[in-house]
Amino acid sequence: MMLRRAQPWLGTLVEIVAEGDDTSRLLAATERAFARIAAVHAAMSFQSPDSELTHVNRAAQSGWVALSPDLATVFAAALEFARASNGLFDPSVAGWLVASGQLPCHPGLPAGTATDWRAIELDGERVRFTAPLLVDLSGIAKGYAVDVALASLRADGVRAATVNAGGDLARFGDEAVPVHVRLPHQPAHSLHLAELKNGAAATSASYFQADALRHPGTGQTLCAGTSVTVIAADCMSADALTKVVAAEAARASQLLARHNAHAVVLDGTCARRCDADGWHDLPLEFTA
Amino acid sequence: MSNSPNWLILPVACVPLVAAAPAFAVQYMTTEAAQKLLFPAASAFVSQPVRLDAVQKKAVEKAAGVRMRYPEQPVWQVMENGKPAGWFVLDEVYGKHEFITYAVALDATGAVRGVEILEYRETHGGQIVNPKWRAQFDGKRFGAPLKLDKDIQNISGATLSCKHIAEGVRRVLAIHAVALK
Repeated sequence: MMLRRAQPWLGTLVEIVAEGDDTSRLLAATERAFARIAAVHAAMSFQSPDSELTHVNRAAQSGWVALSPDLATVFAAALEFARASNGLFDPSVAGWLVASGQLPCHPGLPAGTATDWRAIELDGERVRFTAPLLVDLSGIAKGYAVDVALASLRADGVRAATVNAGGDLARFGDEAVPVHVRLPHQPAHSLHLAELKNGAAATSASYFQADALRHPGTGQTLCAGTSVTVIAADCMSADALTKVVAAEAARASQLLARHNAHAVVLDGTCARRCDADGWHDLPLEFTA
Repeated sequence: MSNSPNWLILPVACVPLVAAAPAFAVQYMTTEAAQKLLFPAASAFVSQPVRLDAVQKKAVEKAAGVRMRYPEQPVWQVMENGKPAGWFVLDEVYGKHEFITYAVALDATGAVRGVEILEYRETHGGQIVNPKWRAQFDGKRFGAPLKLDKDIQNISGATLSCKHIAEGVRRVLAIHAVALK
C-alpha cells in the first residue's frame, strides 16, 4: 500500500509518499521523517527569530559558536559548494535579501553586512565570521532536510519513498517514477523531465515569488522567467547546484560533471540540458 | 548523453509538453484518519462547531491579522478517558491558485500540536502554453494525445508558499483564545 501525507515546513508544503505493507508502520515512519524535517526547519530557519541559525548570525562575528551536528553538516557543505563554484554559490547573500525586505531583520543582527563566504570560518562543529555578515542556508537546507527525511524512511525499512519539499525532491525504490517540472511562464503546466529511481531533482525558479535569487557577485536578480532543474544523487547537492547554474550556466558544467549531475534550464522559448559533454538544446515534442 | 549515472533512467530525449491546464489535486487524508493520527490516544471526538458572533469575529480578525471568511468553524473536542485532551480544528485556505484543506491539533492548553494537510488543489483555469513555445512546434505535432494531469505527481518546482497556512493557523489560535478557552 501507499501512504501520502503533507505538512507545512520549510516555507512550503512537504509531501511524503511511502510504500510498504503495513499502514501503522508507514504512519510511524512518515511521522519520524516529518520530525527530522521539523528539526532541520527549527535549526536552519533564517525567518525565525530564535532558530539556531539566527543565534549564529547574532553571535558568530564576536567569536566561535558551537553548532549542532545538522547545522555543522550544512555549513560544511555550503562552504564546499562556495569554494568549488568560486563563489557562484554563496551562503552570505542574505544581507541583500534583508535590505530588500525579502528576509526579516531580527533584533541583534549585525547591520551593514558584507557578502563574502570566505569570511565564514568553520572548524569542525563550531563557526565564526571574520567580517560582519549574515548566513542564509535556504539554498541548501531544504535539500538537506529532504535527504535526512528520506534516510530516516530508508532506515525504517520502508519499501519505496519520495520526499518533495516544494521542488526539492528525492526518492528511493525499485521502480522509476516520472518527475515533472513546471513551465516558468506558466506554472500551471508541466514538463515530463526525467524518470527517477534512486536520486534527487531540485528546481529553482521564481514562479510565485519574484527576485528571490541573486547573483553573489553582482546582486543581480536571477531566474526571472527561467527555471533551473538539477538531477543528482542527493538533494542537497542538487539544490546547491541549481544556484550555481542559475548564476552562470557556462561555468557550471564542470561542477555538474564532478557531481555526476545533469541540469535542465527552461525559459519562455526553449529548453537546454547540460550533461558531461556540456550544454545542448533539448528537442521538444508538443503534444496537443 | 554519455555516462548516464545509474540512478537516473535518462531525462527523456525529447520533452513532451503537457498541453492542458492541470487541475492538480491530491487527497491526502480523510478527517477521521487525521483525527486518529493527531490524537492516537483519543477515546472520542465530540463535534462542537464554533459560531462566532460579530464581536468575536472582529476580535479574531484583529488578533490574527487575517479576515474570517466564514463565521463558523468545524471543531471537535478531543476526549481521552473522559477528560478533555485538546481540540481538532478543520480549516481551509485559499490563494490565488490554490485551495488547501488542513487540520490543526491543539493540546489542552491551546498550543499547536500538529498540522496535517488533508487536501491540496490548484485551480488554474483554461488556456495553455505561451505562444512562443507553441510557435516552435507548429507543423510538427506528433506524439501521444496529451496526458491530463490527474496522474502528474512528483513536480520538481516550487509549489505555492505555505504563507496562507501560516495565516490560517494564526486564525485558528485566535479562535481558540476567543471561543474555546
